[in-house]
Amino acid sequence: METQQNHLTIPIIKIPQGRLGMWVLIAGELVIFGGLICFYLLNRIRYPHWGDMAAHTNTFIGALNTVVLLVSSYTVVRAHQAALKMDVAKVRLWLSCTLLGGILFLVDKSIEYAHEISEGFTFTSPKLVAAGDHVGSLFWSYYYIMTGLHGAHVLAGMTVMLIILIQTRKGKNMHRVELAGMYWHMVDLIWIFLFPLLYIAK
Amino acid sequence: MATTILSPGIQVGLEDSHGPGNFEPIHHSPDHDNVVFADPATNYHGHPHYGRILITLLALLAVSLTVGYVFSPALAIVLIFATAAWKVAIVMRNFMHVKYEPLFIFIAIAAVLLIIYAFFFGVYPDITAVPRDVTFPR
Amino acid sequence: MENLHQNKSFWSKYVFSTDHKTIGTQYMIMGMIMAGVGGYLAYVFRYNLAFPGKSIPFYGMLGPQAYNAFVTIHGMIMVFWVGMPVLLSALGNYLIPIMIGSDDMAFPTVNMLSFWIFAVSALVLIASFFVPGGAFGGGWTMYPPFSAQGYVNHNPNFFTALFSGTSLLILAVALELVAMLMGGINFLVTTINKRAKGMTPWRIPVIIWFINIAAVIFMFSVGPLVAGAFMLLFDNVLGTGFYDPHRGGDPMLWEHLFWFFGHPEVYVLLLPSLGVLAEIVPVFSRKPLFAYKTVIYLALLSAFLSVLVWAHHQFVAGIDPRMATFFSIGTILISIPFAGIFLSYMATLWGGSIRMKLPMLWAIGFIGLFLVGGLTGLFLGSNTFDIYAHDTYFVVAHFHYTLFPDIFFGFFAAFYYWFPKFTGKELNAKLGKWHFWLTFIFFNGVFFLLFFNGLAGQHRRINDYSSFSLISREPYQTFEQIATVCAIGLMLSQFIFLYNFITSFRKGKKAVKNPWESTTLEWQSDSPPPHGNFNPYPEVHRGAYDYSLPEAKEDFTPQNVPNVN
Repeated sequence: METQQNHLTIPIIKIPQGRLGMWVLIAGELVIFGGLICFYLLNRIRYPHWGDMAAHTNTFIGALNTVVLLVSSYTVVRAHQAALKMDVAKVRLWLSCTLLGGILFLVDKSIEYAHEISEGFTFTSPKLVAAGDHVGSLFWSYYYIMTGLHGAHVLAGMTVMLIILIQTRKGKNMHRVELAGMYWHMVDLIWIFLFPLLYIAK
Repeated sequence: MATTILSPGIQVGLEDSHGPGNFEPIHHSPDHDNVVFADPATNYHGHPHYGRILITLLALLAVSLTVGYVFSPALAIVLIFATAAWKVAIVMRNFMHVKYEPLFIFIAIAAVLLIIYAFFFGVYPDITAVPRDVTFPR
Repeated sequence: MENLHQNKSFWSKYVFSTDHKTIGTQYMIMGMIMAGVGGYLAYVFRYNLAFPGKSIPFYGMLGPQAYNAFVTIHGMIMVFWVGMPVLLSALGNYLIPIMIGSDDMAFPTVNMLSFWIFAVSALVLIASFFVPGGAFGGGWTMYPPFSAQGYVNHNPNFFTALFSGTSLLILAVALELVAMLMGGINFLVTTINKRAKGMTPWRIPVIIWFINIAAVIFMFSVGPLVAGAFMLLFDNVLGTGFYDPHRGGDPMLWEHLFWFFGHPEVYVLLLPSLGVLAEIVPVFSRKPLFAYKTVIYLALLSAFLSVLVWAHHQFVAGIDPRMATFFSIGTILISIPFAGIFLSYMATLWGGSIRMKLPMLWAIGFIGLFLVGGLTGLFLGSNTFDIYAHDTYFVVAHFHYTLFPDIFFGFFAAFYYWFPKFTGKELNAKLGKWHFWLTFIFFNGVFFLLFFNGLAGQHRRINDYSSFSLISREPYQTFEQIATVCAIGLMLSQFIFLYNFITSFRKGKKAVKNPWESTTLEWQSDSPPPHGNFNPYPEVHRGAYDYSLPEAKEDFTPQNVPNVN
């Protein structure tokens, strides 16, 4: 038992190793998304026409997804709280709720994508290009790459959460619940910024 | 719960916070899977009332959705992004427990935002100051 | 505990190892192999420049397309597949745990994964030579529209566009960046969390500080490029218009985000080498490092400035002139911290009892050569001069005078210094001296004359000057030929090093524990260090540079010595 504690005991600044690593990872991820948001903002300021394109996004589904992510952030932090008390049943319950939130998010997203693709707004939007609206097609390229990259992070977070759900079955690796939670909160944070950028600011 | 809540601000990474008797020699833990928990000395989290925070977040979301119908577009955009920033701050402080972490973490995240801002600042004139009719069909 | 990791099969001990020393070796060997590939490419296109239209020994005829591809991939390899793994990953993996008195990295498995992703990225890069159309030839900066032609050229064949040299290059770079990001996370967490008792921040050796600062710069500047590389890949494969001005995009965006990463990258490569110097210069001068804290503050300052100067690579690309002034000033400002760091090394040498051993030779060679590169950098930093010199051989000579000492002299200094520690064998000093002097002379022979070629206006992206009588006039074509002969000599002299490495490793003299009489922790462990590095774990009582303490009997006092009396 004593070596196990040493593995996590931090003599210098008091952050456990896993949490510190996760913070560094989050900082790195924030730069990636920060850069992407920068590119989008620069072009958004350059092309007022993008406002017309943003009007085609479905604010209702976007808002619903925001609610889903906020609630799932809440459930994962409850899972962390339960993990501190070594309450395996509750951890598994709250983690499952979070996973459900992730699935709900992806389902919403798919419905939204299907709707937009059926209207001719795809990654390259050949319809808009044929009509000479190159700037508009660029909006959809940005829309898909931003939401797509975010969706990939949702999937990654869900995979991690699933692995931890399996590992916690016997009460193993309870400290990892918090780490997965931190990653999930980061996914939530990015969405909080993407939502007004892509959906409300028209 | 035996939690030692350290006030953020005293634990900057550059300071030596090596208390006497605080140290155990570091060994390679052969069994990574069996690590159960951070020991109480490093488990310094407090737990805010998460339900109340969730309600605040949802209320802020409702605000950002409605301001567009109430105020002028310019003011609405300012308000929308202000609420977004507020939401981010709430999530980071409470859900990600930044308010219990050492100042070091806060500095790191702030540095990220500064660097993004530097990038935006450097690129801004080259992308936005170009005449808007630069594009034409092939 | 010590025996736990000893009884393992060959695969888990040498190939899929999680031991930081093995991973460091893997990175180093991989970097050396890639340096061989990059050197071969350089040989081929240098030969073509000196003797255009002739068949090249060991290659054959070189067409313009292949020439471009060779120059491009040479640049890519030397920066991303030699400089990064050797300086950041190999040195970081080797030195961080052992110099801070720890047993291993914070996340050993992530460390192993990082190396194998890196290995895959190298394979993808090499594979890009063998796809239809050959490797990408649009310059190592991958500016669109050159790098976004796949969709136009191969439409509608999606797979041809995906497996074109361009896409594979973008993919290889992306994988390499991911590998280095994982390594960077490991370095930071290890240094912050796994230090030995008493290893306070101001007792950490300078090289560990510098590698960590480099990791931070890397992590914070690479993000936009990762996102941008995806966008470039989509432009190339799917035909989106992120960088296509016809489609509303902007190629300037790629230039900005490439150099937003690319310029800090220079400091990512430079800082570990400067750290190596900070270890070697005090040991062989028998003096404490001059102004230890100031050196670290200066490095932090340079890290801050390094993200504010990137657009000096784009002065002729049509950036906003107001910004050009800003970036010009920033570029000239950033020379101040580095001048300060070099001043500290000079002051350390001043009045020391200097031992001219091999590592010291390389270190002093580094300082001398880098001075030339740094000073010509000041000229180029001013946008008025840069507009004239841009894309001439002046720039080529300038960045080889910074990066060659940085990557190769820095690495060889580190190699000759730490070889006895990590193999337990001594290197042949005589061969080492031959290696140093030949490398030093030939390197200057290659690049010094090219400054004059550049000032005469010789453009650097032309494969055959014979059709341009103005710039191929004498003596500039002779200078090119001298450069080529010296380049071949430079490459051949590296075989001395290889021979020395292999023979010394196999049957060299057994090295003592602390041959250079150094104070830092790694020399207090056995040579080579066992798995887990220390037994028992050291306790640190003093700073890293306690040389010639007046009260001590010996002229060095290791960090784990409690009191000198």
